[in-house]
Amino acid sequence: MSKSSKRYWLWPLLAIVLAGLIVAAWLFVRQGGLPTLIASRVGSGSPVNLKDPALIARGRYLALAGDCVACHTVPRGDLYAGGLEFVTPFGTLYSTNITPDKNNGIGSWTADDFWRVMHYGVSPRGFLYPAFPFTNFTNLSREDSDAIFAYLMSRPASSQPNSQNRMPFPFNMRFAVLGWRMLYFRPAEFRPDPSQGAEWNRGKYLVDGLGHCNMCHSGRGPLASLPASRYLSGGEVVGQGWYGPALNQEGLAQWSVEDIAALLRTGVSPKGAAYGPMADAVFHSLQYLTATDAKAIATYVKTVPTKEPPELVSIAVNAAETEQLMAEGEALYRKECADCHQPNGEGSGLAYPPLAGNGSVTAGNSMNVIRIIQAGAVAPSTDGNPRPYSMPPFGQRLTDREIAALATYIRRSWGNRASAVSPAQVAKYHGVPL
Amino acid sequence: METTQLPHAARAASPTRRPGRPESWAAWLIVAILGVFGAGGKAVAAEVPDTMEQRLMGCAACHGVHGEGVAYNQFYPRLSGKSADYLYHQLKAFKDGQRRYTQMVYLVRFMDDAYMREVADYYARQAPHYEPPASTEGIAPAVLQRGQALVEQGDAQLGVPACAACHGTRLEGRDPAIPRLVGMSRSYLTAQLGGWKNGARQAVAPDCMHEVVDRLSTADIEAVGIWIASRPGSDTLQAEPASATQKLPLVCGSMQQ
Ligand code: HEC
Ligand code: HEC
Ligand code: HEC
Repeated sequence: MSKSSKRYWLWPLLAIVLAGLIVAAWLFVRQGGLPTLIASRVGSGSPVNLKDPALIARGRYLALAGDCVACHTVPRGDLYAGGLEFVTPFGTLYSTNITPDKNNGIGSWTADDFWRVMHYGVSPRGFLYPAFPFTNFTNLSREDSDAIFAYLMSRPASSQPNSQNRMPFPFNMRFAVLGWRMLYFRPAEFRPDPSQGAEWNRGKYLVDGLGHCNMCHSGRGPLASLPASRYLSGGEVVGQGWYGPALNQEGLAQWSVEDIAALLRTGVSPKGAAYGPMADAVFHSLQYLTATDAKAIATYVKTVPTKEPPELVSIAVNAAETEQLMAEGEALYRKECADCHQPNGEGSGLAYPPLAGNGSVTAGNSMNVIRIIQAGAVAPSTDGNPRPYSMPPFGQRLTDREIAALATYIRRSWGNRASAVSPAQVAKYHGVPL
Repeated sequence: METTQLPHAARAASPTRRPGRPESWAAWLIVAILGVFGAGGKAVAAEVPDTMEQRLMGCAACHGVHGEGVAYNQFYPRLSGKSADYLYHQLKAFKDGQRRYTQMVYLVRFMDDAYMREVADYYARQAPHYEPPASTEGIAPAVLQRGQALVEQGDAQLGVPACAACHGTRLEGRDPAIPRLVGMSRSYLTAQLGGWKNGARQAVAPDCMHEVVDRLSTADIEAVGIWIASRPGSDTLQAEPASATQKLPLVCGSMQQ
């Protein structure tokens, strides 16, 4: 009697466990399956001659487009020798040495090992954290991965040792990344959309792959994931206190393809200039794009459908207070800003970007405006704009209220229709690293 | 920028159309509007001067347009007339993370080498800005003597070397890392020295300035400030070159980099 009742309890339990296992196995397969656990299951590509100068040259261009150098180099450190700090909600980690050093770098790797990193996000050290943009690089073709590998292997080796990550349990275990991967990662092969032209497809390949634009320009979901519904819809750059505006039909409605391409290649454009993390991306990577590739990227991002409205930060500034801030802001604007940005917010040529109709200024999230008024900015030096003009910082001289008034004024004038900014919001950015 | 619109608009309003008719009023209105915008647009584009002065308006907020400093805050150093090499190395140190003042690091991070050189040259070319030598009237001779002695000879008993041993015999500074003292105001000098004494201002270890100032009394600091501020600067005063291989009396962290 007691025996049969025990069995009675056991069956559903077993069923649940079994169902769980099946789902887990299915998710495991979806996140990449066996190659993510067993290196030899990755499969080899067609043999490549890593010494081929043409391959190396192509790899160099692709490595620049992927901005490997910015994330894998510290100031005064050896190029590509890693050590850059990444502060994430899950702890602090460091990029690694990807020079051909046998002990501390990737000198003993094969092209297959490298492909496993790019395509699956798994290296000999285990599952890589998604601070490394493998969710983008997975879109790369095998040929492009091989070319980048050939380039990296052609560079001088550096024995610079890797830094120890500082992550709390359970995030310090690389195996924990498997859980994240099962939920959010699928290895992908880029498939051109036959209904679109070659230029558009090239653009999408670069944006979703090496360009990893969505790392900075998309809203995040749980556990810093990048849900498809927020693809390029605008989002906060993790850990940096800057906002990447929407890159889609709506967000870029005012930008022509040429404007966007100019911003990518020179850091300035008739519609807006690069600053914060975008200046970083332009300085180290995007300025080296060929005119054709920059145009392809621009062509593609202008067609991205607006899925979810960009995030709105609701704040309590009532109508009377808004009016007061507007009045104070206007007076301050005339005194402090109008010389460069003009009384009508139109800007002055490529030297001083327009504030009227500028998506960075009117984004639902006002952090860029607050930060740039506090800290000023210098556009990056590029071949197309080697001697940039600069914007003064105001945080050292103006009060939080004055900065809030200025931010409110430029967000709500000349046709701009964004929310007001309160002094309390401005105060939040004191001491946030630049 | 929109200059091509002007002739067209003018033609539309040519006298062959009779005045007073609604469309000619509209035409005149268009001329007026385009005129304003056209001229405005042109003026705007032409107004941004292609000069370093204009390009560096961002820096002017804290350093003054010509590197002469700003009245609202004496903390921000003057740049005018300092050696181009010294300034370039400071910019590079910010960019490379050796100097860590966040605001500076942020602004120079994406400048390339050629531009940093040009920025340094711009400020080096500006006439050095000296506070006029402060009058010593009404200051007790003993204070002046003490100040002069500390600056020129130091105080062996306290273990304090002469300021001039490092900063140059005429306090003109020494390339590439020791700043000029002549031309600084008494209040700025005593504030900086006081800051070193109480730890508010720090340099890369070993912090030689802290070591020196720690051995001085507040009265000594006052005396030094008074004496230095009374020294005249001149436009021809150049920093001592780095090749002056005279051995420095102390080891300074900021010199070793
Ligand atoms: C946004 C920053 C970022 C960019 C861009 C980036 N990486 Fe990384 N990369 C990282 C981080 C962080 C890690 C360490 C991840 C970890 O330890 O889990 C990493 C790890 C790697 C590894 C694994 C090394 C090892 O020893 O396990 C390789 C290989 C690599 N990156 C290559 C590249 C290449 C090639 C590019 C350019 C196409 C690139 N990365 C661009 C941040 C970046
Ligand atoms: C001396 C000229 C100058 C002054 C004065 C100035 N700016 Fe700027 N501003 C610039 C430059 C140059 C840029 C582009 C910076 C970059 O790309 O890094 C810029 C960029 C901006 C941007 C970002 C625009 C974009 O492209 O997204 C905002 C917002 C802005 N300024 C607001 C202000 C406000 C508000 C004031 C007054 C408190 C002000 N600026 C005063 C020169 C100036
Ligand atoms: C490291 C983060 C980062 C990466 C990577 C990045 N961006 Fe940005 N981007 C930003 C930020 C932050 C801004 C807002 C500041 C500004 O306007 O410069 C921005 C601004 C822009 C703007 C101006 C938008 C507007 O409405 O003002 C465009 C266009 C743009 N990015 C395109 C791209 C493209 C295309 C890519 C990929 C090839 C890319 N970005 C990669 C951070 C990034």
